[in-house]
Amino acid sequence: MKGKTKSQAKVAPPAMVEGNLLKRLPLIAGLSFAFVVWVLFNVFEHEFLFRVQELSLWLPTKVYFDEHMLVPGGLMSYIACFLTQFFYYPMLGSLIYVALLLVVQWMTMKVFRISSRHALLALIPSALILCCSMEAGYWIFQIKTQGYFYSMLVGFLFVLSAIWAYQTAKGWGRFAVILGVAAVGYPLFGFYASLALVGIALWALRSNEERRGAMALACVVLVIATPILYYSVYEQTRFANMFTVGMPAFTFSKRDVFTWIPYVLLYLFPLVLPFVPLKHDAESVTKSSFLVEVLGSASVIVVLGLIFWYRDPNFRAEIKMNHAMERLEWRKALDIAKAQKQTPTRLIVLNKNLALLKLGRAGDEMFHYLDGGEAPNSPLKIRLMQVGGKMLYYHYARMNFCYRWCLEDAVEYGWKIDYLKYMVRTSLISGEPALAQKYINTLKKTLFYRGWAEKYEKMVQNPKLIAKDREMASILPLYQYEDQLDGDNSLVEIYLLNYFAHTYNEFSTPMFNEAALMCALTLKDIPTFWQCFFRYANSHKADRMPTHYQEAALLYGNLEKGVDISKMPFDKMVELRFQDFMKFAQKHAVENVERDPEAKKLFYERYGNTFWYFYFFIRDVKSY
Amino acid sequence: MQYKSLLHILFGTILLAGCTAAVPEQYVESAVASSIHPAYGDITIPYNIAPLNVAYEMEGKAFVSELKCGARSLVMKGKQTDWKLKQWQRFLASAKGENIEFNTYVKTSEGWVKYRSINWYVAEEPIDPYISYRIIAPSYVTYEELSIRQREVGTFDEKVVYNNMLLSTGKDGQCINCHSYKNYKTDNMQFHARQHKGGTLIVTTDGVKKISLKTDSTISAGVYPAWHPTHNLIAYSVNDTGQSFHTKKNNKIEVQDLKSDLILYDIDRNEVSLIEHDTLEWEVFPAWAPDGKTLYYCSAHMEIQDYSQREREIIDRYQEFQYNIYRKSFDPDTQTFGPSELVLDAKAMNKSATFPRISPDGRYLLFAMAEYGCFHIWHKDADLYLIDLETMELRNVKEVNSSDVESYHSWSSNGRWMLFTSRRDDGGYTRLYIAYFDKEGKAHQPFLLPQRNPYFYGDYYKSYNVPEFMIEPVSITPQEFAGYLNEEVISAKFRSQKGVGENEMNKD
Repeated sequence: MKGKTKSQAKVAPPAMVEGNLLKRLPLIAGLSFAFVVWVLFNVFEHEFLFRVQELSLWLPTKVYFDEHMLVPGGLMSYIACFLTQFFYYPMLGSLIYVALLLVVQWMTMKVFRISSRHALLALIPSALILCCSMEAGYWIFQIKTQGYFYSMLVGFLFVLSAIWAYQTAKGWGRFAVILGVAAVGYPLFGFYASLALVGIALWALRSNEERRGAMALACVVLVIATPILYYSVYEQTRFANMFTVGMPAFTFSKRDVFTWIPYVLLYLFPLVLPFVPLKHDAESVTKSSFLVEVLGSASVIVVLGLIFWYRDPNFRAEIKMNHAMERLEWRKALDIAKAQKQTPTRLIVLNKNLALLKLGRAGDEMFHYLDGGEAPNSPLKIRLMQVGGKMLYYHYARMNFCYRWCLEDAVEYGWKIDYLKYMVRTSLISGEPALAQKYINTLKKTLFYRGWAEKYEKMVQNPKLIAKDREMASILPLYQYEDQLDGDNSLVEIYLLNYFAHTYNEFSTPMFNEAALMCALTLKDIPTFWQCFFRYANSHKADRMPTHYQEAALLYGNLEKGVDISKMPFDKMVELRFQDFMKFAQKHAVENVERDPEAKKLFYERYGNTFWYFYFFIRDVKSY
Repeated sequence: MQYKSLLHILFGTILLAGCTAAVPEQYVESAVASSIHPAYGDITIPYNIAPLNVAYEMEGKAFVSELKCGARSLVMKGKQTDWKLKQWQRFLASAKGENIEFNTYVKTSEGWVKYRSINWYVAEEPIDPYISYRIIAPSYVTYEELSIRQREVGTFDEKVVYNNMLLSTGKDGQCINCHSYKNYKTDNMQFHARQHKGGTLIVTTDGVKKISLKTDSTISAGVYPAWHPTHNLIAYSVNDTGQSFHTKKNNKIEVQDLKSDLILYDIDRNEVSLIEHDTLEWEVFPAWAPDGKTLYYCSAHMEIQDYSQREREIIDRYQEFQYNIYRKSFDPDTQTFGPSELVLDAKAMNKSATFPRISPDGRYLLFAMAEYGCFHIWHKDADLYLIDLETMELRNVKEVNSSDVESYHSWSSNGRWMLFTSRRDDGGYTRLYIAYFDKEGKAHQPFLLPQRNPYFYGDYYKSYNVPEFMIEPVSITPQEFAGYLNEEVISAKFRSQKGVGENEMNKD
């Protein structure tokens, strides 16, 4: 204390942040962020990430590369598709993804000369990129941007690289960088080259270089002129789109405003940052201001995640069920349906019914699960066909329809692994081996589906293997029907229900008859039920009549006396429960009982696992 | 230093090896032909065709390809050929009317093997220097990106004539189809755009106009076109088209006309008049004879039993729609047609004939025929047939047909080459095949339109359709076409013609 003044002795100096901590902060913050994202991906989103790569395609062929390069920004989508395929192994794919997020952080700091103190702030672009990827939800089925999941990341890395190249160059070299970004960057990265030019212009203006005005002007001129000049080169891009090509293919309508937010924030980042004074002497950082900044930046990152990370339980269940069913894990699919706590979407219900049919448990269990028709949680107009209809058509042996919709969606949204796999299998079952071989040849060129393709190639060479394949063997009993001209109006469920419930021919197999009866139950059409019921009974003479079919027969026999059920050998338990249900119904009869939430709850607790509950209380279900 | 020298020697050796392809001096001859892709067999080719590059689908340590014609030869190494364009062109030009042997030498562990030669006969007559076609995914309802492209047949240069994405937006798609030329020249041409910014773009020496051919008195805008060879007239079919889907058959889809007629469009007067308008007849696919004095077309006769369920009935009875070929005389100066004359009673053969095309010398009628319907591009049994109009002899052009679809076809301007689409490669995607048609009226084995990369078609997921020969390229740029399509559409006027569309029964 020697030599200190009185006042100095009274006011303690503010606590300073340790220099070493500040130096290491970028690494600590970056790795922590990357680790958290990687863990979240692998705990909650691995099925989603797998689906993302299934809905993408990358091929090491010239034709594939050339097709990307037909529009500005082609290299960006090419790289994005290349990276997306690694989600085949979600742990590996997510490792690559978070590693690139770290590169974004590192480059952000380097390009914008951000000091270590603001390392968390430099993570915000990475967080925004993450939001762009993870807000997708149902967009993964509809977005026309190829390599959507990675495109923002790749594009933003190009922006940072371009600004960095400008900063690194000297004298006229800087002008060469500007010209290069426009002339070469635009064809390869589209809109992101324009964004880079704007970033360079603002950086130049902020600097004290001699020719900053001329450089900035050159950038602005090139931002406008480059797309105009390239319009005569690109033969499949609208003039207006030349300025936006490479941006995600959302619309500029009210519907997509929310989806745009992280993109717009990210676009603004390199434009605003040159004007934010972020370089500080490390020694002047007090602990309190440091803490405020760290907590503030971390909060922004967390809030961004909470807002934009899509976390709909039905969506996740659909994705998980799809993956389980693709691996023929029907029991797992049922477990996922069973774990649902909210009203399911129709896809979940249909998947559950398919799994039960495959396991031969539909008659006893199809009403043991939550039922209903929650609309997909998305501002998009979702069609069941896009999210799961192809799998349903395939397993219900509507080969031409499955093939057709794979092709229709491939044309509209781009070729995907998912579609190619169905096209291989439907072509094989339909007796078109040459066509199957074409798709097999393509899949053999992918990094991760060669083995899958080779398995089916053996079936091309030896069609007898088709009937021996476990998956196909379970489909062939439903493939026994005669050709007819038909159409589904893209309504998968309505089509399947009506098709199975109202179709019968001499080739109908026991499995076909069971599917028909299930559809008749769902349709709640009494005459159709009886037709299907007797066909089912005839084709399952040796089997016990499952509970739900008995329940329906009891109910319909009592509701309408058209069919004499008095001699039907119902299980005693089913009969007693039906009598109990009738008494319960009389006791709790209120007007519009089927739409009364209280009554619904009461009945659900007691009869929620019966056809009777489904018949009376599952109403107003809309398919899509 | 020594290390550097070694590198130089190694590099020099590799370079030299790459430049000095030579046929091996010692080899064993094999009686079988090499396995190549595409599977070009013994074919007749024009001297102005692009290189027929192939890839070897067989094992071997080294491959040498040789083109041999008399004492002249071209040799190259590698598992894929990529003939230098100029060398190839010179070689073929010098081989006119002669046979080229395509020889393959493969190095195995036991030495070189020479496979049986494949013979490529070089015809004396050239093929038209350009062709155009529409590139389309073989989908059913969606189309997204479509383009009409032109290809220089003697090289691999392909250019876009027009691409619908130049005007399509996410919400407003644009379909393009039916490009057509007058007498193989592109200064008079047309194509349709449907939906967004729709209309028919008609290019004449006077300029480009976007016309709406739909009038209150016609079923639709013009569909299948046929330019009159001497006058500014285009015959069209007008069609109300629907489609439905096979649940099992590999044909996958049926595209049916619910109604169809024929119209004539007078370009100079901007007037549409009816050629055929009989509600019991489904007239379609007009085609002019080269002298412009006869119009050929197809028509199916159908009597609807229940008009209240007309559409359903047409779908249910799809196999009953069988098209015959008819013709009408025509006076271009008065624009009057004579009565219809039956050329081919396909229905009597339980067949359906489509797309009649008359050879430039007027002697042969080439068409596609299958069991039923009018959209043979989706009919696996569709084959090309030929009628000799001098003798009226009908025959299946077995030389060019396959077990899969053969459909849309064109004659070259000298009548010596046929260009048609086929799904024979994989059953799903139409590819272009070229066949020589000799003076005796015999077609030769067809060959696939060559691409630089022999595996191009395997990797390509789009179909080629409506192939047409041209003797010159389209000079208007795609962007200019987009500009014309952005302009306001001009509506054609309807001109009633005495005797057509009058006193008809069963109007619906």
